Amino acid sequence: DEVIFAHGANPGNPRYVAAEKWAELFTDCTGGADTVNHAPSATMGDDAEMLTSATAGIIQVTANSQGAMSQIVPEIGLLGLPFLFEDLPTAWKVLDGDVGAMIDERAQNAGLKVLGFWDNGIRNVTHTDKFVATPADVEGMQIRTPPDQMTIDIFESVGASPAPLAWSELPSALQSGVFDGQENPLVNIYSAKLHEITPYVTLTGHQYQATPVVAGLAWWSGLDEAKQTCALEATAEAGKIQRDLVAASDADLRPKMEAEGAKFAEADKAAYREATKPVYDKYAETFPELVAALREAAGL
Amino acid sequence: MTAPLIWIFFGLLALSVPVAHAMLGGVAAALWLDGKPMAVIAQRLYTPTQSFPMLAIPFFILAGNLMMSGKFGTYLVNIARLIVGNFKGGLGQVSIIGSVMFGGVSGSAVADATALGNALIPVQTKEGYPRGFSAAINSASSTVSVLIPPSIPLILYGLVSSVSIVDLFIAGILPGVMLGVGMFAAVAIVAHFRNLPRSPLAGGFKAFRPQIAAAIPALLMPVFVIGTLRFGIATPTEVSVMAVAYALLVSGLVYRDLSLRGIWRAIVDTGMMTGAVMIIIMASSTIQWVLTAERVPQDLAAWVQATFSNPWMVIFALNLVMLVVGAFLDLPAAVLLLGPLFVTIGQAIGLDLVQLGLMMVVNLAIGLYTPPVGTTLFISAAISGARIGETVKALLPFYAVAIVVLLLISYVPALTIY
Amino acid sequence: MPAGDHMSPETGGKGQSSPFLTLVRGAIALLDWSGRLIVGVCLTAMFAALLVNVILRYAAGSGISWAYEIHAILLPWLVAGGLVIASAKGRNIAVSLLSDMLSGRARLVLNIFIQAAILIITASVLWSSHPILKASQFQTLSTLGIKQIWGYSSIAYSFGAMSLIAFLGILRTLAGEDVADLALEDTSLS
Ligand code: NA
Ligand code: NA
Repeated sequence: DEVIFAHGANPGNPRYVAAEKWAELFTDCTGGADTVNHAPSATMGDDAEMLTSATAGIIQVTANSQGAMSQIVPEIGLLGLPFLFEDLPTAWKVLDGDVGAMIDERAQNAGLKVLGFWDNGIRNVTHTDKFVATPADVEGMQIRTPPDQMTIDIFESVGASPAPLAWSELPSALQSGVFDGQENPLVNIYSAKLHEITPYVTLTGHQYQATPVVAGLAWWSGLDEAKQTCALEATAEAGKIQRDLVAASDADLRPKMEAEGAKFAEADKAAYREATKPVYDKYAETFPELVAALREAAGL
Repeated sequence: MTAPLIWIFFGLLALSVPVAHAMLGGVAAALWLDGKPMAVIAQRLYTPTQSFPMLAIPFFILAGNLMMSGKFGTYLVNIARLIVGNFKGGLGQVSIIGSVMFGGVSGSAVADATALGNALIPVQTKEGYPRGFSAAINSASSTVSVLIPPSIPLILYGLVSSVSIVDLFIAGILPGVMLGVGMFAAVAIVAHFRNLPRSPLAGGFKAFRPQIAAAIPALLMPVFVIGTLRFGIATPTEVSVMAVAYALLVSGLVYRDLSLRGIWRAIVDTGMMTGAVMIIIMASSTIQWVLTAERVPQDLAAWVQATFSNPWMVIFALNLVMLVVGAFLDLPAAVLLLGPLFVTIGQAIGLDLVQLGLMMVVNLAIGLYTPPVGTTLFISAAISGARIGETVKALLPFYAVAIVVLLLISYVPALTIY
Repeated sequence: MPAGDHMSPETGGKGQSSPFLTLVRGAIALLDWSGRLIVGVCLTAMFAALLVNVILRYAAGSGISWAYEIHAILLPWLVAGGLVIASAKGRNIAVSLLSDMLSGRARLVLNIFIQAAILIITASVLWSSHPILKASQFQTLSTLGIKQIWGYSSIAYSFGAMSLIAFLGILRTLAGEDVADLALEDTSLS
């Protein structure tokens, strides 16, 4: 049978490379019984649409985004709590453990099966004319965010003026000065050439984002056990490659972007962590246990 | 799936089934024959409605509707007559000047063909213009509207290609003016040979001075649109909203011809036009899914690269394909169907994507006045009462002008890339 | 733009006036009005929200966060409402060459074929949309907190209405009305 593996990344992106690998591993593992149609570049729709498609059985698997997934399983949005993970390995430990299992359970209620978690990288702030090393520097900053309540809450807690805007309108909005800056993982900043418009990159690392790899539950349930194992193993195996590539690409990108005129600075993370504490309190009201569990797992 | 899709689509089209339904019929049959889940149709139909920049379409339509429903339309025709009415064939030139000015408030050639056609063709007929020639001028000149900003086809191309809509709008001005000047020349030549009358406005400049002053706020709308985009007041979607506010202000405060009834009618018309154009966009998106699932764009791009040795040959081939497709398909549908395909090919040969966008819109706009399916052609012929055959004969000089402009846009990057 | 209220098939048509046809026309008029109402509400609400958002962002420095999400529900409904109005008025963009060439009985047969094709196509889209509608009840828009099914159900409304209008169109054609009258200027946007 044909398995459609869809995602939104373009060739060269770690997600694209890992998806190729997934296709290869899964096909080999099933002895060629199932072939994989790798559909990149959002050709099967954007992240939210791919999730609907997976539930409805139009596609089988999608390497998706935390934001779109949190529209179905709100709990996954908590991974984006500000300054939650000290480093990437801590994040992986949490995702590959109980928290990941709990998210999978919730996803199954909505007709989706989580096969595993890849990385999407850590988000950083870029500004048109200054670094934002301390929370005081972002006060009053007009910052573009994705339409994601958590990100909006983070920047409101430090006194900035966050406003959500469609990704497609971002370059022209920054160019024209509608916003002072934006926040994204370096990969996105580089691919959209946002550092040409907002050259001051502060490595705030304010938010971690996962790339949940998700299958349609109906398809998943129809697989025999051997094939289910193939899918899980392919996801884990390709995930190792993907996580390495994400880490390496952040390291690669910095000199590349510096050569193209971007300037980098570190942020005072301790000060930011202190300033964004109210965000934890807000979400603890709705998800007391999970927020507590995440805090503990992350050693906060 | 691609072969049955194409056969069924064209079969239904030939039997006069509406374009969007023919597309959906082709896709549904292709999916069903291939054992693919048909739920993909509903999913892909929905996709275009989730795009925030797509909102600019209804709002630019609404702004145009509000502007043209009032006195501004009459003023505009009179101003054009003041400027060129003294020339031989002056009323024909009025169509062209009118289209350039109208282009600044409207994003659609069809709106232009309807509004100016109804205002001008009856007068031209009375002054002895051959019916076919009147219809020809109107159907060709109205396409200038989709090049002068705002432009719905350019917004659509911007969406499929991820090219900045602002850049596209700015790059559209020069080709729009070139088309206008070329058509102006064509009318002048025909007017000379057919000895068409001059039609100066009675009373001249003095009598119409107040109208000119009154029309200025409306004529400033393109300046307003480009200005707000260029100087970063807002994004294209927001500008479309502000254009509506501007139109309401101008007709409410300057023309004082704003009524609740008029606004309601403009809103309902806008809804109907949005529905009619969006259903084609949405149905194209289902076709797109089938083509992508079978990797048609990549295969075609690879084939083009392997077959044609030179970029200029590729550009030539792209233009030929568009002329054929444009003959059958409406402009927005053709932009959406071919856009993703052509962007892949364009990137492969290093063609600038802004230039490609203008090339596509200039080319596919020719399709609006070529048979068998030409929307501005049908409208203009219907208004003038001319047969399609005689209109097409009178269109020959306009085709020549459009092809020359198309070749210039295709092969002189400096015209579209600043 | 011309008014949306020219002579439309249902008022200018040449059908007989039987109680049954009156009922059919009443049903179509009702659908037409539902479309107008939806269009009016959606367009006005989006206009107001986006305008207020732009103004606030400049005046107060911070806009309304859900202004960028409101179209996710209202744009599909605007389109659906517009589609229903256009269908009720028999104004779909079509290549009417063949239809224009024919007359009399042949034209009648073709009209019935077209309506039947529309009926089958729209009904199959409606029928096959079921899994998508089901999937969409699990998705919630992040800042608005509204379930996506509220947007997706616009497809059920518009395709359901188009099926119904096509079905009624067959009945009207059989009763001798010419419903294939096209008014191109209102239905294309090139
Ligand atoms: Na225009
Ligand atoms: Na044509």
